[in-house]
Amino acid sequence: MNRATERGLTLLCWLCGLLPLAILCIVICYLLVRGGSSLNLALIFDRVPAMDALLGHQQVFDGLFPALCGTTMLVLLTLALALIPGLCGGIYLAEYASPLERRILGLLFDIIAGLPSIVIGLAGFSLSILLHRLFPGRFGPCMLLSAMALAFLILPYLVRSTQAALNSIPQSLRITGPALGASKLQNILLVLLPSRIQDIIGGIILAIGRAAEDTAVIMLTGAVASAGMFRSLLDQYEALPFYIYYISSQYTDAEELQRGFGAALVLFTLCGLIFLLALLVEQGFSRRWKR
Amino acid sequence: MAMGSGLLLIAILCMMAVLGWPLVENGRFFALFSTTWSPHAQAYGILPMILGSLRITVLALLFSLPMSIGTACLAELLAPRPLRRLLLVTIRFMAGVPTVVYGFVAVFLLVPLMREYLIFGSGFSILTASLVLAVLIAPTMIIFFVNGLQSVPRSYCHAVDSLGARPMQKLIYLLLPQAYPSLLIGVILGLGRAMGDTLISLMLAGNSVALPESVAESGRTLTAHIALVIAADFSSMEFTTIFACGLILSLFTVCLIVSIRLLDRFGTRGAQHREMSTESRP
Amino acid sequence: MPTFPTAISTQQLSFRYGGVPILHEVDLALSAGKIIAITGPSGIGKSTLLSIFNRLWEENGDGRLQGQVKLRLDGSMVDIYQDAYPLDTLRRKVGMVFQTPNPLPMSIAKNLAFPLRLMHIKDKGLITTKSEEMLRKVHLLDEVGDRLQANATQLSGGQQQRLCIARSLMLEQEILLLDEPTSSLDRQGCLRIEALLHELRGTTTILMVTHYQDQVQRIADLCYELREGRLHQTL
Repeated sequence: MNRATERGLTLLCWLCGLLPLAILCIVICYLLVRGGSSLNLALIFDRVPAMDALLGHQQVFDGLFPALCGTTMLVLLTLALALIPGLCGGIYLAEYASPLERRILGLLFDIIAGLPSIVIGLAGFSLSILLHRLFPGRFGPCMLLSAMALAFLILPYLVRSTQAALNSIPQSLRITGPALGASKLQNILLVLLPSRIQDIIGGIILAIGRAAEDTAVIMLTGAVASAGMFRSLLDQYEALPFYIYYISSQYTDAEELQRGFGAALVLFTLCGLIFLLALLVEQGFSRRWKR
Repeated sequence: MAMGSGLLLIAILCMMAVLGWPLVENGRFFALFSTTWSPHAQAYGILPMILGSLRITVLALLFSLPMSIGTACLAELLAPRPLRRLLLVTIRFMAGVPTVVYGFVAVFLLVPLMREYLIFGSGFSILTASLVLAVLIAPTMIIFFVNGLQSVPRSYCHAVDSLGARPMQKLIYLLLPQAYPSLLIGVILGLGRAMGDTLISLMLAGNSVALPESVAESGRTLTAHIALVIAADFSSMEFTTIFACGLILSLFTVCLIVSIRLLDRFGTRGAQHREMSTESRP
Repeated sequence: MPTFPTAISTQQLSFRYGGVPILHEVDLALSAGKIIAITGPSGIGKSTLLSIFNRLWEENGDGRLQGQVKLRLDGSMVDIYQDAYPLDTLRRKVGMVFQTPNPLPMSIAKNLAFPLRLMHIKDKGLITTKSEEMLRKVHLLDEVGDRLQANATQLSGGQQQRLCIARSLMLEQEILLLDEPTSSLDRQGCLRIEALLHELRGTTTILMVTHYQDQVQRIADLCYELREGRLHQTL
């Protein structure tokens, strides 16, 4: 390899390497230019006063409010379903499982993590068909179903991040608890988990981000374009990502399209904030670690 | 608990097999792999979708690979230090940008460009989708590449640095050959993400069921097929094909993950061998 | 006794690494062809001190250096931190050997050829003669001369370390930085390396960090102790 090839390759690396940054910039600028102007309260609440909408006095039809509520509820429900099993699974894998169990379960979780989200959505959908056959009645695609499917989607992330956090604890800290007479469970709860709490919270936040942005699962399990304000767990609902997808193919007038851009900007910002939060938590961790 | 979710996975696969069973029952399973999809003529070949998926995936990988390797090299070695951190944070942020946002921007920005300058027609094509997909899977690969480059033993780096290797020499002679297994794993992960993505191909590939003749034409992927057919009648044959799609996608994932596992073990065996020379601090 | 010219000199050299002060306004002038030992309590930054002279610390960032460092390279004193002097040239002229032997995961022959490969030297004959010459110099030729294609990581620790020294010498450096080169070896390996250093003396300036006072007594011409940011001459 002579000097010229070296130079050429370096240049090529710079060109290729700055491409993703450039693309991200283009995406952000484009969203801001096209959607920035529509970013106001009317985008979310339409013409309904914000307080009335928040308190449920008045329905919002032409705003993002129902979709935002739907996504929020969905994420909370998903988290409620997945958090405990995820953390427990991670702890079990890191602390209790035998090497064989660890390998088999690790493989299974990796496969689940790798499953296309549409397949998980399809599984959720199939479940609703089965339930429909077993209990002929009203159990179709609904928020609960979506939340279950999403919980299944983020479960491996939670398990793996918890496991990785616990595995990264140095042996010296690991034996401090038992040396002081702590039982295994006490050691985990009082020493190990707190020492890596930032990592674990960071993992949870990133999992939330995934649940919030996923569209493929919810479009198969109950998200619809216009359901109005979400009412019960067994109803269909509106969600932000699905709304954006819907607008991109089905918009009828310029105003609707404008709202689509607004929605895309809102979702983008939301995910950006979630990422920032995760980053801050992590930074806090590393700063404390240095001292 | 962990057992439970493992069982759940198996249950899901079984459920799909059960729901897709009518296909096998009617002796139509092998007809699945025919090239015509025409529900009116009772032809349910999903081969166009399989090919569509493969084409988009491979193209996306081709576009994404140089970009990812370039970025990983910049972020690990070539860029000035402050820029490296910025790059890494940005890449991690990009991994969290919603797919639907990429798709949305592409529909209104990239598609008209494609229509005007490159492929004419509607602008919705396999090429368009794979370009956006390349951006989508890049962060996954970059993060893995960077990890791989970072895990090259420090003592080797010291040896090569102290002999006066320039950054590009260090990269070509030491880092890339040493990090080779993790590079491969990164590519496989990228492949999985590209294959499994629904939204981009659904929004941008055009979704026509005809067997595409060139990448500039419209095509449909397995994932998009599932999303498109789901609205149809529950008991129709058309509907049962999506379970075949689901099954194919799942099996594909299983193959990928298992191959990663095998590679990983191969890689760590190499690492144990490497550990003979322990770290030294300058 | 011939007088040797100065090979290494520093002026008002201050260095902080990772927020920790290592050196404070050190003036130093070391003659060429000597073995200079540096001792001091562990963790005080002796290894980091060595890496000032081939700028290796820059690979890990987070250091701040003030003052001047000059080395005699190709017969004239150059300020190695001035921008015009290329980093890769510097490192090819100043060899470094580490605490733990670090042969690259390739054959012995390739390890030796590696520095030349970096210089774009492709002449097979030159590489072979040079490799043999260096192996002879470090007394490895008899031991491994018949299996040059074997993986270098399979050698014993002492052999690996001598291979690393040979690899550093491939470019005929005039200055060699050694970071506790014998600390991971048994006594036999240690003595062989010391004998080797004795032979290199006169042609090569050797700056060596060491823990062992007896080693200093055996081979060093000069000895400095690093304490509180200063170098105190003890021999």
